[in-house]
Amino acid sequence: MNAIKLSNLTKRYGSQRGIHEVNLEVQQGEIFGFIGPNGAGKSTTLRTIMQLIRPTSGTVELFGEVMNKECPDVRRRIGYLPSEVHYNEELTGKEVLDFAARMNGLLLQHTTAMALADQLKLDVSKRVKSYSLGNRKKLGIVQCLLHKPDLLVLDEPTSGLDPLMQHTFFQILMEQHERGATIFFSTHILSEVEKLCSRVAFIREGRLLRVSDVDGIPGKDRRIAHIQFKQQGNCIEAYRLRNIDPNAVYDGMEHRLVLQGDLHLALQRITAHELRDIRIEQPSLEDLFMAEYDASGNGGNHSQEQAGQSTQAGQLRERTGEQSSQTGHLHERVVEKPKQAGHSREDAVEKPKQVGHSREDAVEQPTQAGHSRERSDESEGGEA
Amino acid sequence: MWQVFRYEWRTNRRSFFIWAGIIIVFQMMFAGIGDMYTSNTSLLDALKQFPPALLEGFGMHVEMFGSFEGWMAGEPLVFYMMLLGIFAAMWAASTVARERDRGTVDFMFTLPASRGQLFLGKACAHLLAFFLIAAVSYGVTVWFGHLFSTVADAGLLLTYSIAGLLAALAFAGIGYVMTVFVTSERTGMSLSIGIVILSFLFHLLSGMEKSLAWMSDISLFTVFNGKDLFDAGSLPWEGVFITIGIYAGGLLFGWLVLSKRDL
Repeated sequence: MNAIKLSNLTKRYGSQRGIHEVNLEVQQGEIFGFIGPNGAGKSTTLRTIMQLIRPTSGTVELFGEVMNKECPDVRRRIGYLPSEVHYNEELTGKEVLDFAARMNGLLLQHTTAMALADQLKLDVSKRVKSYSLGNRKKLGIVQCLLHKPDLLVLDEPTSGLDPLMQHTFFQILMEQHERGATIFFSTHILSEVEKLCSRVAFIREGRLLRVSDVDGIPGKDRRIAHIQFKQQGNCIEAYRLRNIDPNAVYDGMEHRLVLQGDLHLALQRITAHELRDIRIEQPSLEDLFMAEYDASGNGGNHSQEQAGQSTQAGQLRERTGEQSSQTGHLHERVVEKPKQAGHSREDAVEKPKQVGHSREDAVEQPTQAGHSRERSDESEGGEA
Repeated sequence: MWQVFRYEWRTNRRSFFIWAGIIIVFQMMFAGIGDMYTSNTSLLDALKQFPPALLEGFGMHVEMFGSFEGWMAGEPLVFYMMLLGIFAAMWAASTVARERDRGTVDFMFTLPASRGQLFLGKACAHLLAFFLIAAVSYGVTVWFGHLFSTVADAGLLLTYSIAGLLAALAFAGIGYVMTVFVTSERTGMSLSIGIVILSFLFHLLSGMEKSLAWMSDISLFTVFNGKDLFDAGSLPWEGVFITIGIYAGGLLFGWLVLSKRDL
């Protein structure tokens, strides 16, 4: 049974775009990632699911029930965490939780709220106005979990949480998942999706571009290396860095290379020279999807996609070069996850022939057809 | 709905005490100084020189100043209606606007309660607040009247209080219409004050010249005229229907629009 089913969901704000014919199914018990750049329509989709906004056309089904009228009882089964958490500033955290619990027909002391607050190191006796952004987020997390919902709808849940708290939060999410909760969340961060999700959907400019298994995320094994050699100046030619990445660049401070394929070999080549500093990042999910999307001619055919490999890397570099601060907190994950042997992206994902019309058109389910991108990646890695 | 009622009370607690304090102090002051005012013959003589329309606008009828009840039907009733009206319109206008403005709309309106329950739960909290202020104001008026003057007819003072309360309910009805359209609490507050002041201004100007008489028809201050209340000793049914009608209509309209509107 589907926990969420969106059928041709469209929302327009006058002449402005919201979302356009979004088709999506999230099965019960699934952890589903929802990805897209800012303004892509993620929050609009989530807010439509939560009945905060009414769709212009199309339907939202939750637990098999069509949400064509207000369904507060269905909301009792949902925990919603907005991207920006706001509560009445005059209330204490405990008062907020008490109110939320009572609205769900529970008494706060009979819920897991206080245990969750302890787990997240949140002092609920303080007023909301004294909370930092992170503490507000924690309060939001506790509030949306306290009634043990069957479905969690989370809009960028880790933004504002420090890495330690993110870890705790993931533990909590896994516990929720183990008890059978469905989790649908939007994020920018690849590591979150890799850790948690079984499937992921990518939305851009209000259109759902693809739904993919996590293993089929395009180029998720890519890493961006920022390197300073002891040798001053541009070393691209001297160290033959273009053999590692044909689009290697030097910005006057550091060399930037996109590594893919055989990472071990690429690093061996790099570390053959004396290093002053090296930083390796994961690209953000949007970068990966967008690079591929742009390279394939905005949803063009597969051969274009293949032909655009090096172009993708270049676009990825442009994006990640601009946004390295966004992905900087992922440094600790340096090359810890090698590519999964034998997995074909093509097996997991197919690009829609025509972007965003009916679900059948926009998002195709995995097929066995096509050759393996892995081989393509490997051959590029092999050049290194 | 009871939980929403409690939440709204908790949220508006400070605002309630501030406004209750202001209105009660005004009532105490008017009740306390009534005799000093009405026994000042030179002042009364001076008032007689003022344009009748201006005196009417502020509810000042020198001929009524012979008793405490007559005094309280004048200027004090106008101020009472104005202050309670502003308070009521502001609270009502903030019902949804505040949640939007403070970003708490995502929290409130994703709780397992219908928009109607949330709206009416809040409106019930407001209603109790208006009643409480009206009741305490009446109490202190009678008390201070007894202390500093002579209260001959406490029932008449109750009539004034109810008149003020009904006018406030009508202003609240207007606030409930506004709250679903404005997205800023401050805008709602400003509009509320503006509408009450404008209503008073219409009442004031309507007596200035014949051509402006129509203004009295759209002023809620004209619905309950202090002199008429004092003379009749009871509330006009027409005024009761109009004010309750505006209140109920505003509530219904706000509820219906809210249930269809994006948040």
